[in-house]
Amino acid sequence: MPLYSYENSINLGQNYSFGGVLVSGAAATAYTDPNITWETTTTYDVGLDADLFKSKLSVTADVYKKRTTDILRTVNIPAQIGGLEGPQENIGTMENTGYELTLQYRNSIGNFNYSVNGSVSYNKNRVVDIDGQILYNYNSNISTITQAGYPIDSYYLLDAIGIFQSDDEVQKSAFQSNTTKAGYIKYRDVNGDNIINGDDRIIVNTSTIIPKYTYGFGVDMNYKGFGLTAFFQGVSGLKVYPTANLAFPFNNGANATWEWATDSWTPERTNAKLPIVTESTGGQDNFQPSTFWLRDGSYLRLKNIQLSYALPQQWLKAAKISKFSVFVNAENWITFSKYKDFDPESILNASTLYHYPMLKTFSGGVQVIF
Amino acid sequence: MLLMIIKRIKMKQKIFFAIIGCSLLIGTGCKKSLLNTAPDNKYVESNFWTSEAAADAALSGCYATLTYTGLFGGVATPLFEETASPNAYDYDNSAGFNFIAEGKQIPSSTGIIQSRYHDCYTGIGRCNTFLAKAGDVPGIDAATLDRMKGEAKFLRALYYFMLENYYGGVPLILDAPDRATQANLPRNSREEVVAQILKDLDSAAMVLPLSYSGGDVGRVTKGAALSLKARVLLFEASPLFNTNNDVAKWKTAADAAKAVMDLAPQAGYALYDNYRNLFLPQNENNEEVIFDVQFIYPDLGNSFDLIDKQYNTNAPLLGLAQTYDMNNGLPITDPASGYDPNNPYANRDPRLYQTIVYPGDSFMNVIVTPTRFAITGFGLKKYSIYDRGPAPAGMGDLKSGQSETNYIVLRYADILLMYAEAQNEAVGPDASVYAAINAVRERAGMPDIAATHTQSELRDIIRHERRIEFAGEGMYYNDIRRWKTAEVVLNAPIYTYNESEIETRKFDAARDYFWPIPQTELDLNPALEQNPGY
Repeated sequence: MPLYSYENSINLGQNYSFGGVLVSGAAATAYTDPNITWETTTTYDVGLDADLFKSKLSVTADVYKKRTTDILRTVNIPAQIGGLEGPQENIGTMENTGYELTLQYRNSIGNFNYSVNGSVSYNKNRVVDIDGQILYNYNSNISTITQAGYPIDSYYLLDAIGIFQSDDEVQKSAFQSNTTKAGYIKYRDVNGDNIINGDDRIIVNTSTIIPKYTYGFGVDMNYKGFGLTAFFQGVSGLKVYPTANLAFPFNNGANATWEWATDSWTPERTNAKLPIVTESTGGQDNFQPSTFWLRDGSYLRLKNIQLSYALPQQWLKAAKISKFSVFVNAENWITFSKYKDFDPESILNASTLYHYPMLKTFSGGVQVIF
Repeated sequence: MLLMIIKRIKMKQKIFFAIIGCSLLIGTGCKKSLLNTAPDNKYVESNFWTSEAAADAALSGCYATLTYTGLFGGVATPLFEETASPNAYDYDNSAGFNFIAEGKQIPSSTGIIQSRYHDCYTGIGRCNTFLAKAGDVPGIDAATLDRMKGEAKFLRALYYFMLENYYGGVPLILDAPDRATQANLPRNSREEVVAQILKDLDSAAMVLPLSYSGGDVGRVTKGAALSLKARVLLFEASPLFNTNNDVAKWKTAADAAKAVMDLAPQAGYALYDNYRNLFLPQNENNEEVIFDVQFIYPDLGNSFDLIDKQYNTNAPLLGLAQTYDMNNGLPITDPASGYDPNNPYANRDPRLYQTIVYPGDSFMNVIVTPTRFAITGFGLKKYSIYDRGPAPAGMGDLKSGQSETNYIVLRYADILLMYAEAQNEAVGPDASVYAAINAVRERAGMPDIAATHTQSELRDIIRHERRIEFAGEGMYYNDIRRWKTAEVVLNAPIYTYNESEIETRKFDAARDYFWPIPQTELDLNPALEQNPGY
């Protein structure tokens, strides 16, 4: 919280020129809420730690309920209030409930040692009360709504119900725009007023950024000199909304991805996955925020796998080597996901896809210690 | 220990900045008191309004909004606005104007529909704050304070005009920004907004000077207030707003324009002798300019030259080029005009050569091929420093934000044509109507209009004259709106220089005369009602 947040700041740099000379100008550019306070989080947590079967099995479990009151957040305000940026404000109360469970099992059979571990956490986010307000957020091209009873920043989108198959169907449906024709996405006229606009948006009951489940599991085993470790991680219960160049064709003068050539609607290809090819800059028509572009962001990924072999000590003594081992390692090798267009792990918070995906890395090595 | 040193340095910096701040801007007001908890490292509402210099800075902040994208600045907003009319085409839909030309604008459109609404209210909020606070600032003499308030009222009127003209009625807010009382205000009627605009302009005109000198050139004058009033009243008298053609409204508009013409000798207004040079930076603030937006490089530049010379995102259309008459005054469609389709750009209205670059012309010392301006074959040279000859030394490649040509919001030729139009509607084609229109034509080097026309003929002649005189200046879009001719001329194909069709535009008369209220605003204030059809 910046100091003196109880009063509007006057910023310099709002300059203009008179008589061919720049003169300094000043103006308030953001609104300030004089009554803000720190947010408070109350956490209830019941936990269990157990070692069972001579420490072969360990279990950690937590059930929690986190209640955050006076959530501090920058809100948008109508432009009619001097075109000012919205203030930071205590908007209300939010609740996160969930559990975390971690299991590990270790054992050995003769020379074979192994351990298996797994963890899963579940989180449910719900806005309890924001004083009857509805908060909208248009940041990063994603249309969201925050309203009591729903997860914070839920998607707020037009409901896409297919692709128009004929101009006749367009004529018989609610007005979308004067360019709508066969091949365009058809939106549901939620309020039945025969025109598709902001009043036809629906709340998609899923958060934009917080997955419901995150989980991971791994194995670690060795037999004589051989060792194998692997670790998987995944999330589920999450929708992503990819936009911009990789998702939309010809955005800002860019090109289109290949599937726009092979799987977009044409009169001959009426069951295509994508609508007819149109330019997407400006975000109109097919590129209005709608459920059509919502994707299941769940994935399971083999984050790391390593196979190693260490030569037996007795072979090394003669060469006066204390340790000699070789290994091969792969990171992000295999990913299971319905979302194929981009790296699902790095899309979570960055829907424009203007960034580097996670790298797949393969490496191998030899370790010699004298 | 280290921590303490850092703290000390920080404190020193704070004091240092406070001293600079106080001495530069505030002058006084740095009194320390044990219980005074105002910050010493930044300005807030409570420690800012303490000197004339501070009030000056706040007033400059009211002007600064003029250079924003939603008004007359950004990259080249007024040049892009031309592309919403049949005069020009923007293949890149800059600021969303091409969507408007195509009738594709929707409430969630980004671009000008959002930025104009937002930036106008930014300016209004600043003017309202200034008008609420300036009176409490110690040490400003009454005359200066009156003048400053007059400037703020003009700017507030201009910003409200830019709202009501495009969106219809909007919430009419005259107090400093206050969320508690203003967040849920519904739209006022357009008539209420217009009444306030006229009230502000009248009271500004009473206190503003006729002109300024030196470091004050560019401030709002009395003539500017009267000229904006004339424009507002002309729009009110026009078919879009004057739906039952009340002749009294035309009379009021004619009188308002006449008031500026009567003021011209005192204020020094006249038509600048050269139409082309009128728009060059070295001739800024000349006798024809009544109010312009002051750009300056490098701090407050625009990109007019880059757009005209290179981006061509305001490409003139064939329809505009064909609208220029022959220099004998006859339209090119008249068999007696001498127009030669094989040499279409010979012997035309001189303003063609001073506005448009065409295939076969010379531009920046190079012969213009049809692909030099590949979009339509035409380029715009108005508002650019580039012309037929070589570029001024060292300025051959002005880039983004490097142009400083002022954008003229109100010029005297407009006053004359406003008067001609309104007077012709109010009383018919009298001698003063011909005198006004012919003054503009004579400056351009065109023959007079003979005083033999009916009211209806002269209406078409005046409309034609406006289209030519203001081509490329972002004015024609509003003219076809207020004349209610947009439903005809924007429901038509547009062509390149060699008559190849680019697209057919659409205009829904029931919907497209007004822009939608941005969806973000409807979301944030459910009391706002959307315009019909959106």
